[in-house]
Amino acid sequence: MKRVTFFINNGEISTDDGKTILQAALENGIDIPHFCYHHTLGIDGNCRICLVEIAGNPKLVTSCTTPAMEGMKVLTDSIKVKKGRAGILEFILLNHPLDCPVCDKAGECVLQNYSYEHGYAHSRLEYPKEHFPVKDLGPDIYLWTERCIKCSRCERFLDRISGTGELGFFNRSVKTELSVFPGKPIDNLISLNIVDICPVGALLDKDFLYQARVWDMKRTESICALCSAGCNIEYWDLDNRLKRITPRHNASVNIDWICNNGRRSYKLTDRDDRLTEHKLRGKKISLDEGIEELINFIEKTVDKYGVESIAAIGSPWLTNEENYLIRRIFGAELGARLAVLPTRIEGKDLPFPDGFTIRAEKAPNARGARIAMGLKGKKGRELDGILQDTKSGKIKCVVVFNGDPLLSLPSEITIALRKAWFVAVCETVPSGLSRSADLVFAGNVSTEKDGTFTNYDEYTQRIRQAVFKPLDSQPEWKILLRIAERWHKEIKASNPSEIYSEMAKKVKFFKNSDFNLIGSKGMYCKE
Amino acid sequence: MAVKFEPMLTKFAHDPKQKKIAAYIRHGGYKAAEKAVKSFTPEEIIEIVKKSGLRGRGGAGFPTGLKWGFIPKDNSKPVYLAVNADESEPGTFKDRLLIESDPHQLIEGIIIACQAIKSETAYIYIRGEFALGAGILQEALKEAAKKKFIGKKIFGTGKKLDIFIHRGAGAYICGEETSLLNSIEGKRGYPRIKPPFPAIIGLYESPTIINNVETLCCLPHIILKGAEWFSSIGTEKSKGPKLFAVSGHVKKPGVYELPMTVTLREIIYNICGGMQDEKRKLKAVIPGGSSTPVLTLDEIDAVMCFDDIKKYKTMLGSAGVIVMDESVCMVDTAINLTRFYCHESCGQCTPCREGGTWLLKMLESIEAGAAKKEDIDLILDVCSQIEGRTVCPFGDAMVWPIQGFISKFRAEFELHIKSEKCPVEKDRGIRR
Repeated sequence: MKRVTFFINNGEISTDDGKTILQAALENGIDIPHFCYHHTLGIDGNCRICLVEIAGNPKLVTSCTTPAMEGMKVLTDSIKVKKGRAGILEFILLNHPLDCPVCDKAGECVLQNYSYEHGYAHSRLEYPKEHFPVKDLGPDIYLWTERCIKCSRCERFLDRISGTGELGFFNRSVKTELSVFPGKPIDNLISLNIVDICPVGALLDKDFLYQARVWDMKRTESICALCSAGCNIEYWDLDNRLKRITPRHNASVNIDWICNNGRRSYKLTDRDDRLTEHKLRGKKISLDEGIEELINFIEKTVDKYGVESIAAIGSPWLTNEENYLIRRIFGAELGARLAVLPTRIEGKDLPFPDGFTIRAEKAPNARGARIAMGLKGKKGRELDGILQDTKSGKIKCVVVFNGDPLLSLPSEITIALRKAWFVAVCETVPSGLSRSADLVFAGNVSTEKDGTFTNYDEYTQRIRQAVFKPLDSQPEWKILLRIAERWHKEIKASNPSEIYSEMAKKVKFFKNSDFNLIGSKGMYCKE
Repeated sequence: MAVKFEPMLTKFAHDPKQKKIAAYIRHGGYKAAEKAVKSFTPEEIIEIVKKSGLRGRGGAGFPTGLKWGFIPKDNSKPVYLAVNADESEPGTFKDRLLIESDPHQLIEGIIIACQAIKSETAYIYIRGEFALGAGILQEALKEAAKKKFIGKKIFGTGKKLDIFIHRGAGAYICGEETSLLNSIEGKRGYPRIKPPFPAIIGLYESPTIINNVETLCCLPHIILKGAEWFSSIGTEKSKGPKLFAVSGHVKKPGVYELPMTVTLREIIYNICGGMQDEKRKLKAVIPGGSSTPVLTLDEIDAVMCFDDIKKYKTMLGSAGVIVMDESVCMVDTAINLTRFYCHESCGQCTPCREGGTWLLKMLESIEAGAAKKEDIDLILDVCSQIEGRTVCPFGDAMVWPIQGFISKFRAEFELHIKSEKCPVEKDRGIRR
C-alpha cells in the first residue's frame, strides 16, 4: 500500500494513503482530542473538537475528516488551535449539567479530562441551561440526557456493530436528544458496550449505578470465563468485591466488546454457598490431611487392582496449567486413565455484523484442556469409557477437578461416578457429586487465580487473580502441586508460570511459548 | 441597466396557460431538449454550458459546467440528478415562481442536464410547503411523459429518463445538498462530511449532481440561443439573466428578472418603485437571502453580481433582496433571523447546535435592554467560534448576518444597551 509522510508538530509521521490526520496521529501515539471518532465506528465528524491547523490553510480543519497528504504540516497545539478547541469545549459544556460529583463516569470521563486539559475555567453563559429528563432505555441502561454530547457513538454502535438500531436522535437544534423509539427498548446481547464507548456519563449501566467511584477500584486484566471466545476483560473490584467487568481492546479476539452476560458474570461466582473448606465425608479437614487420605487410598487401590482402577478427570473450566498437572501427576507418573469433563453447548454461535461472536460453547478452556491433557481422540470418548468402567466396577477411585462455577455436573456423570468406591472432587460450589463425594477440596474460580486459557481459536491468553480466595479454598494448581510434592518430587514448580515452563517442555503445542511472554494480549502458541 | 434586456426565464410567467404543455410547446418549448437528446453528445452540452459562463443560482455561484465535469470518467454506477427545489431561505422566492408558473421549463432543463451527465434518473426535491408547486409539477410530468419527452425512449431515441418528485418535510437544512441526499434516501436530514463530494459519492453512494431550479431553467435557453447569447448578458464573471426576489419596504415587491449589471439602487428605486412609505428613509438591505450580511444606505450602489458585491463583505447568495426602512430595529431583525436559524439547526455538530441558542439569548437580552456593554464583543467571539467550524455552511449562514448587523449597526446595538430598551419606533409589521 502507498504510504504518505507528513508532519505533526514538526515530527515526521508516516501512514497509509487515505488515512485521516487523526487516525495517523493516534496510530503514532499522538493524542488529538476527539469524542465522536472511534476506530471501530468510523468517521462522523460531528463533535468538531479535533480541530487542527494545517500550515497554509487559514481555516482550522477537523483532523478526523481530513486525509493526510504528503508533506502536509499539521499543528495540534498552536494558539489558534487551542482557542478553537476551547471554543468547542465551551459549546459542549454550555448545556452540560456539570454534575461530575454525582456522575458515575467521573474519573474516566473523556469530557472531564479534556475540560481540565483544554477548556476554560469559567462559563460565559449567563442564562439557564436546557433541561432534559433521565430516561430508562431498557433493562440495562439509563440515559442522562443532559450529559449527552450527541457524538452518536452509541447510535452508530447499534447500527453497525450490533445491527439492532434501537437508538436515534429526535428533535433539532439545542433540543436534539437521544432516545429509543416508543415501545422498543435497547434489548440486545451486547448493548452494554455503548456504556463503555460513551465518552461522557450519559449512558450508564443500571447494575453499576452508584456502586463505586472508578478511582477507588482496583483493575485486573483477565479473560472472561463464560464462553470459549476468550474475550479480554478487566475486573474492577472495590475492597475485594467485584463491582463490574469491562472489555479490553484485543483486535485478534473480541475487538472492543463483550456481551452483557459476560459483563454480569462476576455475580455468578459471588455466591453465599461457595465451598470454603476441605471435607472428608462431611468432616472438615486440612488440605494436607485430605491429600494424605487421597494418596493412601490410591496407593492401596493400585496395589490391589492396578492403575487401571484409577481415573482422573480435568475440566474445560480449569487453566492449562491445572489440566497439565492432572495429566502429569495422575497420567504420566501414575498411569491412571484421563478424561476431560464435557463442555456445555447452549444453542448456536451468535455472530454480530462486525464479526464479534458469542460462542455456544460455554467453557473458557475447552481447546486448552484437551491439549494440556494430551487427549487426541474423539471428544468425550475417554470420559464415556471411564463412566462405563466406573459403572461396571472396574474403576474404584475417581478424582474430579470440576472448576465450573455455574452449574453442577450433568446427572448421568454424577450418577455414574458415584459408583466408584472412593470419589474425590475439587469444586467451587456444591454439586450433586460433591454432596455425595468422600473427599471434597474447595477450589477457586477464574477470578481468584492465575493461569492461561486457550480459546476456540487456539489463542492462548492470561487470566489473573482479581480478588482473594474464600477462606480455606485453594486454587486447583496449588492443590495439585501439593499432591506432587508428596508424591513426585521431580515436578519442581511453585507457581503457574513455572508449571507453564514444565508444560512447554512436555506439550508440543506450548513448545515455543513462555508464560511471561503471553502478556496482556495473548498469543498463538502453534509453531 | 442594459437597455435591450428581455426576460427569458419569466417571459411567459404571467400566462396561466403556460403550465400546460400545449402552450409551452407553442412558445417554442422542448425544442432545446430534443436538440440536446438527438444532436449533442454529453461532452458538447457540457462544453456549451461551460462556455456560457452559467453559475449555480442556488447561492454559492459555482460554475455549472465545471460541476458536471466532476463526475468520474470511469464511472460504472448510475448517475443521479437531484434538483434542489427546497427553496427555504427567508427572503428568497424565485424558484417558487418558476415551478408554479412554468413547470415545463424546469422539466426541459432537467432533460438537458441529464443528457450532459448521462443520468437516467432525476429527483426533484421540493420543499414540503410547496404543495401547490408539487401538484403542478406532477401534472406537468404526466403531460411530458404522455408526449414521450420523459420516460422510456424519449424523443424517439433509445434513451430513457425518469423524473421523481420527492417532497420534503419542512426542514431548512434539507436544502443543503448533502442533507438533501440523505433526506431522499429516507435518512435524517443531516449534512454529510465533504469530501467525498456528491459528484463522486452522492445519492445511494453513486455520483450525483445537485442543481438549483433556476440554474436548470437557464439550460433550454442556452441550448437554443447559444452560449454566446447567454454570455453577452451580465458582467464579465456573472453571466445570464438572474431572478431577484424583492421583499420588504418597497412599493412593488416581487420577482424580477434582470441582468447582473443592475445595482441595488436601481432595483429599489427604479424597478420596485421606491420605498413603500416615502417619508421613511431606507435603512438596510439584505442583498441575497437572509444569510448574507446586511448592506447600509451608503452601500446600495453595489452591482448585484457574484463578484462585485464581495467588496461590501456580503454575497449575492440566492438574490433574495430584503429592503428595510428606518422603522426596523436591527437588533430585532438579527433576533428574527437568529431565531429562524436556531430552530432550523439540524443538531448534528456542536458549534451550530449549542452556539445558536446562546447567540439568540444574548441578542434577546440586548433587545430587552438587559445586556452589558461587553456582550456585543462576546456575541462576536461566539460567532467566530462557530464560523468555519461546522460540518456544513449552515453555521456560517447563522453567524454572517449577526456579524453583518453588528459591524454595520454597532451604534444601534450600543444604544440598546445604554438606554436599557429598544430605541427604535417600530412598525410591528414584520415581527413574528
